[in-house]
This record gives sequence, structure tokens and C-alpha cells, in this order.
Amino acid sequence: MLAAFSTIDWAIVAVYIAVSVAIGLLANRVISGISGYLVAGRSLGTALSIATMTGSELGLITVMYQAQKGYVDGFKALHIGLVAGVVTLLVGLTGFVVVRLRRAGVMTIPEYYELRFGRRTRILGGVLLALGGILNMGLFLQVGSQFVVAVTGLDAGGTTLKLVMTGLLVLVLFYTVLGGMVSVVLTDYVQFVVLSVGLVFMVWLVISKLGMDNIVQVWRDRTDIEAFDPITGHGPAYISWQAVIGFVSCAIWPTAVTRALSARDETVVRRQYLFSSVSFMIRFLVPCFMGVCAYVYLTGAGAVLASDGGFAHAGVDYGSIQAFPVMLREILPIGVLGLITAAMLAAFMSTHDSYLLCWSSVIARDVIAPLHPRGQEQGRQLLWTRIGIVVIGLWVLGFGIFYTPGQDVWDYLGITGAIYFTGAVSVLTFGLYWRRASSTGAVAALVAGFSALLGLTPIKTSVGLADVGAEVVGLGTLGLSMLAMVVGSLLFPDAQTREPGGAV
Amino acid sequence: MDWVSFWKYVLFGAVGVFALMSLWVIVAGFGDIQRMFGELRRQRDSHTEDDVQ
Repeated sequence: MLAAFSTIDWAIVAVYIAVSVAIGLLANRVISGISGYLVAGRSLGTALSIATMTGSELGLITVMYQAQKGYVDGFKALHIGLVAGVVTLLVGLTGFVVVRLRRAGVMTIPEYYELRFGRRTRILGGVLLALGGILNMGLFLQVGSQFVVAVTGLDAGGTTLKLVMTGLLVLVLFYTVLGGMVSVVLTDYVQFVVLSVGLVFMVWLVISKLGMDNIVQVWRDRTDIEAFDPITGHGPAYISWQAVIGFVSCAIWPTAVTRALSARDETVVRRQYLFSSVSFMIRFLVPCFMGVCAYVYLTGAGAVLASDGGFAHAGVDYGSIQAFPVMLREILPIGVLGLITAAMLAAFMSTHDSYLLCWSSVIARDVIAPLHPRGQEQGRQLLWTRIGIVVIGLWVLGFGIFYTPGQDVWDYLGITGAIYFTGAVSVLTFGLYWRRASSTGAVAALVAGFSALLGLTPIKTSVGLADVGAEVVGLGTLGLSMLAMVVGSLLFPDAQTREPGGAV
Repeated sequence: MDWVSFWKYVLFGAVGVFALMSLWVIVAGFGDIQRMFGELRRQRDSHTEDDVQ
């Protein structure tokens, strides 16, 4: 019994999309200069900062991979959200990394690299950041498609789906190119409104339909996995890796850090992180719990589970990542399904716009501009940023169609992100807090971080490391990068010692 | 406390706090948007004056 995605549901989705276009046009009228375009003129207050940080970091991709984790691993996967929330809270309490970065007055992370370590570090850091980030968002469109297919019942093999996803991407490109960060912030706010109401309502509805005791009992009955205890179920290395990712997600990952750099002042930055710790917890916790519930719902509805985590339901084969939207389609009433789908598409779009803007601005300001004789002209940087947004968008479309991940989406994201962030953790933390950190150490750390590429399944298999977990590769790379930073700095100190803030 | 009770407390506690925080963010965020537009218009106008000079 498949509840159809009704005309009312489609109408709700269409209204949301129309609002997004209007926002792009509105934002374009107030933009002036590169600061207005990239960091909204540094004019964000606390509440709007929280909304935009939640909006950009709570993407459809996040919802889908966390739901997949919950569906496959059970309650123990909730530890990912808990760890992320605690780590973000600590960053908010201490201001670790983010407050000093905001104080430096930069607009991008590689810009700080130049301030502290010189131009070559900025260019190398910019290249690695853009590479890791663009690879990281490669699966966004593909996973978004899987959600749309499962929730609407569209034909996965037909051209309709590709047209829908291409249309959404074009829409995102349209309003991001026009309005930059102001568009991003406004759409994030709208998303926050829709998504916060949708998430809380969804939790209530699913629990009221399935019953909390029933949900727990179904997972208790599973004898093939440890469903509740993350320490015995996942092991300390995995949990430590989640803590690293939790820290990176809020304090190192450029799309999140951009919010700190856009904040009005340091007080706003601290408050932003304190409050956002709840959002960072919820963005993992609720989707993960939905995955836990999807398993209970589907097994109760007679779905046939496959050994690879996929399942067959009502005569159709699905992947494990589609369990959550299939449950939504069948459990939500008409109208509410449209509202939740609009919220998820909002999540899809707001993550894309933030990422596109972030990576393209890094390429324009931190890679092309330092190498171009007229690179400091604001008009040129704006043009390169806008061209970058379109080019990366097209690449994401192509990658989404042709690449099939050989691992969990969450693990893929962790490893591609690690190409950038393992080096960045070392360069930023040592750069901000250790006076003796040198430019040679910074370059060595960035290069060492690049070895995280070994964690991608096709590469891991080709070099004979197929049995090594992604978390081991990630932690190993982080350790290597920190070691490279320390050794490089001690062996090759800079001629002029710079203050952590960048001054010579 | 066993893991089941622990996860229930974490889930319901986090959703409850998030619901309250969301109400505040939605209301106060709207005011922030108005202030942001005011600031951006001020910056745009000062740019325009610079261009004229």
C-alpha cells in the first residue's frame, strides 16, 4: 500500500522552490563588493548565524547517510550525534580555533594561511581544500536523487528523475550566483523554519505510530549485531574518529567556519557555537533515529532484507539508504509528506549553495587571485567565484551520474573531507596556538594530510589495504600530519617569527 | 542506567531543547534579517558614494 505523492504535496514543494528563486532576486539587489557577496558584509546576528549554520550543515545528504547508519547499526549509531554535540559545545565554551580566526579578520581559511605562513601555503591549502571539498560533495546529487525516487515513487531508471535533479541544481546555481552569501543565509533561514518544525513533528509522528517500546524491542531481538552499546559495537577507534569529525565539522570545515567569519563579532561567534551544539547534535540524532525506526517499520511491513543491507518491499528493490524515505512515504499523511519533502529539498539546496559558494570562493580568492597579476580586483574575484559555482555545479552533476561509491556514504564523506581537514587541523591549530609553527611545517602537514586519499575504497583496495577501516586511515593521517607540522617547524623555522594572529 | 534508557534521555532531551531553541531562532532570526539588510544597504550606499567621489 503505497501512499501516492499527491498534487497537494507537489504544490507545497513548488511553493518552496518559488520562494527560493524570489530570495535570489531579492538578495542580488543589496549586494555590493566581495565582502557582501562572500560573508554577507559580516552583519549576521546570533539567531541568524545559528539558523544559517544549521541550514547549511543539516543537508539532505546528512539526513540520508545518518538514517542509513541508524537503519544498519541501530541505536548505537546515535553516539555520532551525541559526540558531535558535545564537541561543538566545547568549541563554543572555549572559542577554540574559531574565535582567533574571526579575530584575524579573514574571509577564507587559506587567507589565514597566507597571513601566518605566506603565499605558497595559501595556494597549496586552497588547492587541497577545494579538491577535498569538491570530491566530498560529489555524492550529494546522487543521494538526493535516491531520496526523491523513494519518497515520490518516480521511476529511478527514467529521465524524469534526472530532469528533476538537474532542475534543482540549476535553481541553486541561479540564486547562489546572483545573491552569494546573502541568498545562502536567507534560504538557510527559510529551511531552518521548515526543517525544525518538520523534524520535531516527524519524531512525534513516527513514535506515535510505531511505539517506543516496540522500536526498542525489535532491536533487542536482533542477535546478529550489538544494537545499543557503541563501545563494544563500534570500538574506541571508530568513536575517536567521530569525535575528530565532530570537531572538524564545526571548527575546521570551511562552510561552517564561514559562518563564524560572517558573524558580527567574537561574542556572536561564541554564542553561535554554544547554541549550534544542539543543532549539530540534532542533525545526526534525529535522522539516525529515523533510520532505526525505518528498520522497525519495514520489517513489520514484511520487507525482505538482503545481506548487503538493501531490502525488497512491495515488489521493488531498494538500497539501505532508501529505507528512511520509503518509511516516510508510507507513514506520513498527504500534505505533511509534501511539507517534509519540501524541508528535505530545502536541506538539499541549502547545502549545495553553501558548498558551491565556499569552494568557488576559495578557488577564486586563494588559488587564482594570488597567481594572477590583477587578482586583487574585486570585480575579477566576483566573476571567478560565479564562474566557479557553475563549473563545480556541472561537475557535481556528472560525478553524481557516473560514480558509484564502494562504501557507506558517511565513510566516503569522512575520507574525502579528510584530504583537506587532516592537514588543516594541524595548520590551523598549530598556526593559531604555537608561535614556532613554520611555513615549511605547514606545507609538510598539508601534504601529509593528502594521504587520506588512501581511505577511499577503490584506492585502498588497489594498494592492498582493503581490510583497514576508514577510521584507522583517517586517524593515522591526522597523526602523520601533526607530526609533519612539528618536525617541519623544528627543523626548518621561518626567518621571521610571526604571531599566531599573523603579524610579523 | 542501561544503554536503552541512556539513548531515550539523549533523544528526548535533545529534541526538547532543539524545539525551544528553534522557536527563539525563528523569531529572533527574523529581526536579524531586517538588521542585515539595513547594514548591507548602508554598505552599498557608502560604496556608491565612494564611487562618485
